[in-house]
Amino acid sequence: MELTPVQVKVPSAIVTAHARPPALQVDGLVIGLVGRRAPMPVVTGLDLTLARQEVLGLVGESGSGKTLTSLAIARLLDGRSVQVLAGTVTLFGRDLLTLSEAQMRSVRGKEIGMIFQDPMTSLDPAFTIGYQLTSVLRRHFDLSRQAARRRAVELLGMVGIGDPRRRVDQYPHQISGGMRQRVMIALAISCEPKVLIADEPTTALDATTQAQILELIKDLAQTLHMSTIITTHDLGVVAEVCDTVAVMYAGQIVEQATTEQLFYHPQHPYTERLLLALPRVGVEQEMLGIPGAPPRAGQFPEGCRFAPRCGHAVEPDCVAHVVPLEHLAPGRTARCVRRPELTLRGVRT
Amino acid sequence: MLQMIMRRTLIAVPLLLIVSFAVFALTALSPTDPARAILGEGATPDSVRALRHQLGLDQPLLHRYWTWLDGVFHGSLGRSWFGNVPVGTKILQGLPVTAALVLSSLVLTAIIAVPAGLYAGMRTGSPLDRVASFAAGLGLAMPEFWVALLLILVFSEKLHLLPGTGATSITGNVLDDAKHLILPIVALSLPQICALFRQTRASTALVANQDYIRTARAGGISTHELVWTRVAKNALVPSATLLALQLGRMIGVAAVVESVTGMHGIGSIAVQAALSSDIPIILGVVLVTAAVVMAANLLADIATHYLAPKARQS
Repeated sequence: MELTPVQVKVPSAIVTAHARPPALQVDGLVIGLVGRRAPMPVVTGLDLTLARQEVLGLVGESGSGKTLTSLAIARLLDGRSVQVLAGTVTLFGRDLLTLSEAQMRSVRGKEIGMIFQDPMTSLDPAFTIGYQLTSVLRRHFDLSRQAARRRAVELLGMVGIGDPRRRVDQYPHQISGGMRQRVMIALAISCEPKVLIADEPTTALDATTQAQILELIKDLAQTLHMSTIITTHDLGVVAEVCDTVAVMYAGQIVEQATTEQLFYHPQHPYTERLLLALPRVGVEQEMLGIPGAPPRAGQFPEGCRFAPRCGHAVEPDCVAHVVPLEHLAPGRTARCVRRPELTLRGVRT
Repeated sequence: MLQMIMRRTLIAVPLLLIVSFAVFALTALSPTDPARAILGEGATPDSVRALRHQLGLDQPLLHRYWTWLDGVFHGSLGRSWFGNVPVGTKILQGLPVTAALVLSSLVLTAIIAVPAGLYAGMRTGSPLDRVASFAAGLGLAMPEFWVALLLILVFSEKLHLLPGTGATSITGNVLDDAKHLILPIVALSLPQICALFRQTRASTALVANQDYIRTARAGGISTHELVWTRVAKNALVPSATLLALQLGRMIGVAAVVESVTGMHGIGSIAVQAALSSDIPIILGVVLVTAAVVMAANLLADIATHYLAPKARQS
C-alpha cells in the first residue's frame, strides 16, 4: 500500500523540521531497572521526535514505558532503581543527558515543564499553593516576593481558577482534584517552558473534568507556543488534542504518525488492534480486546514483541530477528516487517 | 490555634488531678508504713502511732488527698517529712540542675538527630546511612545508667579529662558547670539521639519518595533546598511528637543518671524521697514533672499545627 500523502492539519513544524532541530528528539533511548543484578532494560531503543509547537501523544498500555520515558527526558528517574542506559535526548539541539545536574536544574521547570498524573499526591500538602508556585518562579527568575506572588496569582487565573487571590494562600487539601490539576498545570507553565510533558494528565480525573483539563492544556500549548508531549492510554485523548502520535508497546515505539494518518491508515498491527478496540457510538458490536497480555520486562520476545498476540504474524519473518523502526517519511515511522504487504484497517475503513 | 491552646490548658487541670490522685493512691497502697520508715526499726508501736497521727496517716485516703489538694490550691505543696523543709523549696533547689541536664540533652538530641536523620534518609542504602543506622541500633540498646558509668570510667578515671561527678548545683560558672554536666548529658541523650535519628531517617526516606517531591524537582528546585524546606517540613511532624515524648522520658531517666553521677536534681531528690517514703516530696515532684510533660506535648502539638496544615482541621 502506498502511503497517502498528508492531507489535513499538517503542523508547519513538520515541514520545517529539516531546517531547524525539532523541539525534542529522543534517539535510541534505553531505560533499565538497575540494582544488585545486571541492568534489565524496560524501554529499549526508543526513538521519538517532537516537532516545534506540536502536541504529541505518547500512547501505550500501563507498563509500556510511557511514564519512564517522560521522566527520563527530564532526568527525573530515581537513579537508584531506574537509569538511562543508552541513547540521547536532545532539546533544541542540546543533549540533555550530558548536562551536569546543576545545568539540568536550570532546564527543569524553565525549559521543560512537567504535569504529573495524580493531582492528589503531586502537590505538597505542607505548603500553600502560592509557595509552591513562587519557589519555582524565584528559582528561575530574579523576582521579589511580591512580584513572584503577583505572578502566581496571574498564573492561577490563567489556568481558570476562580478567586486566585484567595486560592494562592490555600493548601492543596482545601481544593478539589480538578483544581489541583489546574494548579499542577500552572506550576508546569509558570516559567513559560518551551516543552511541556504531561504524563497521563487526565487519568485520575472524572470525565467532565478530563475534557476541561485537556482543553486547557491544548489552549495553553497554543498561546505559549509550547511543544507538548501527552502520555496517555486513551486514544480518545489523542483524537481530541494531539497533532501526532507515537504508539508504545513493550518498551518500544511501534509507530509514529500524525493523528489523522494513525487513525485512518495505521501501519502497525498493534495500532490496528487498538483502533478496533475503540468503542463506537451507534455501532452495535462487541468490544474487541487484544488476546493475551503484553510481555513483561526481561521477557521480551527476540523478534517482534507483538508477534505472540498478532493475527498477522508469520514465522520465521516476525520472530527470528529484531525488528527495526522503519522511517517512512519525516515524522512517520513503523516497526513491522510485514508492513509493505499488509493492508491494515483504520477507523471508518 | 489559640482555641486549641486554651482547650489543652483547661484539659491539663483534670489530667493533673488524676495523675496526682493516682500517685497518692499508689503511696497509700505501698506496704511500707512511712511512719515506721521514718522512725526506724527500733521504734515503739506508741511512737509510730503518734507519728501516724501527726502526719495525718490515720485519716481516710480521700480526706488526706483533699487536705493535700487544698494546700496545692493555696500554693503550698506541703512540707518534707524529713527536716520539715517546704516541698516547693526542695524542688526549686533541684530544678536548675535537672533543667540544665534535661534541656541540654534535649537540644543536643535535636541538633544531632534531626540533621543526621534528614541526611541519612535522603541517602538510604548508602554506606554512610548503613553505618549510622547500625550505630543508632547499637546506641538504642545501651541503657543510660550503664553509659554514664562507662563514661565516668573512661573520661574521668582513665583519662582524667572530666570530673567524675555531675553538677550538684548550678553555680553560674559556665565552664565549671559545663564540665560537670557533659558526661551526664551525653549519657542521657545517647539513646534519645538514636531513637530520634531512626524516626527522622524513616520519615525522611518516606517523604523523599513522594510524588510532590518529584514535582518540586521537576520545577528545578535543588536537592539541598528541597531537604531543608519541603522534606524537612513534611518529615519532621513525627519527630516533633517523638521529641516531646522524649522530654518526658528524659525527666524520668534523669533520676537514674543523677543518682549514678551524684547530681542533686529533682530526679535524685525523688529517688531519695521514694526510698524514704517522703510522700509530700514524691507528690510534688510528680506534679511538677507531669505539668512539664503536658506543656511539652502542647508545644509538640503547636509544632504539628505549624508543620502539617492538613492536621489543623481536626
